[in-house]
Amino acid sequence: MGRKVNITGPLYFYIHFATEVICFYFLSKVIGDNALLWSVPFFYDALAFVPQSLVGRISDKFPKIPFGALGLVFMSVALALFSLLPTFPIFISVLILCLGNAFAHVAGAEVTLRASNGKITPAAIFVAGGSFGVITGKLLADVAPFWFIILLALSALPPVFLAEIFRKRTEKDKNPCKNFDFANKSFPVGLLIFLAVFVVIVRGYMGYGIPTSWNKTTFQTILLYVSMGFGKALGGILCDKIGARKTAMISVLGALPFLLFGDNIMVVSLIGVMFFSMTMAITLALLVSVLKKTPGLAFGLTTIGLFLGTVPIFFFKLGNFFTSCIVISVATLICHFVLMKITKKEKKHA
Amino acid sequence: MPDFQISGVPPAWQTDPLPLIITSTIVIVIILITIILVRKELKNEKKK
Repeated sequence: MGRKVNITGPLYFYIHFATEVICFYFLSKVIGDNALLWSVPFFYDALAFVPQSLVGRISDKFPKIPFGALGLVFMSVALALFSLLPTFPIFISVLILCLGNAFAHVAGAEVTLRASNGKITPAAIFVAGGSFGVITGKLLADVAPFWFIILLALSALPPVFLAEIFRKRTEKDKNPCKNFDFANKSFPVGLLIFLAVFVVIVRGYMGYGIPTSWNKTTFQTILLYVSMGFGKALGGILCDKIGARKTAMISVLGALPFLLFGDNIMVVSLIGVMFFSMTMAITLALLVSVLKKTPGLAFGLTTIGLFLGTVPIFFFKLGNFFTSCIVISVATLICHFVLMKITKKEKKHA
Repeated sequence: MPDFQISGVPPAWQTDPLPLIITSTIVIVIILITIILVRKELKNEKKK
């Protein structure tokens, strides 16, 4: 089969961007009410992230269900209900938002992974869009009307249908993800899945746990999210170019000194965040490599990991600088050891 | 640091734990189903 152009990565980058814009616009509006400050983020994290494994499994079995379009419509309905009907129960509109978010994410993973012929770059580009969307949604909450956000979300519908063309190309293939080959085949598969999810949990925690005293202005927050987005995309590109193992070494060991010494120095910290965000592509590539027939389920495992990584921040105050440094060092070194064990060793001569 | 850690507002679960209990139960059930699905998938792969 000849090489065909695949633009599912950029298409779902925009769809993911729009998804996070609408979700974080909604959340920022709700969180303005102090009584809901804790409940809504916890409810949202749990019910947007965790069910993606089940939605992913359904999508694996019935790939023709248009989860991408359904997701965008669900989220738009949720925002319209919240904005137009102030008496409408808030948790029901958040639940609709969560389902929409889960649908859109699963569609992105399913389409980008199936259409990529064993490459992780398209999926990594899709995931990177979220970081840009989170900060844009937060910023727009102060200035944009709700209908503008709904229009922005619905503007992602044409890319969804365009991406569907690329997914349809893979329908003849019984197992379009068969070429994903990033995992160490001699490692027990069940344990590999557990350890890959563990790395995701650590990454989820690090997103909040890393000391960033320098982050005081909106511009600095934008830079933080942009560096996360670039890191996620770069991780995928490097994974395909030099292999998961070398990318893991660069991202984890490279990140450590920058994370430790970047508390007060923005540029140093941003480099650390970018490096560590690169692990996202590695873990997804590993999980799809062992669950080739169920890419949606594999992606859902990473989102469960992300939720579990953020759970501690809802119950414990984050520690001081030195505690954070110890946690970062130990967690990073464990991740490095784990990734070296579970990623495939690249041959010296191609 | 997340907004709810610096707001000074006591976390909602301390005053009304019911939403936390319901959400956590849903999460645990979904995670258990996911584990079963993954095990099933791995068994299918092995059979091949």
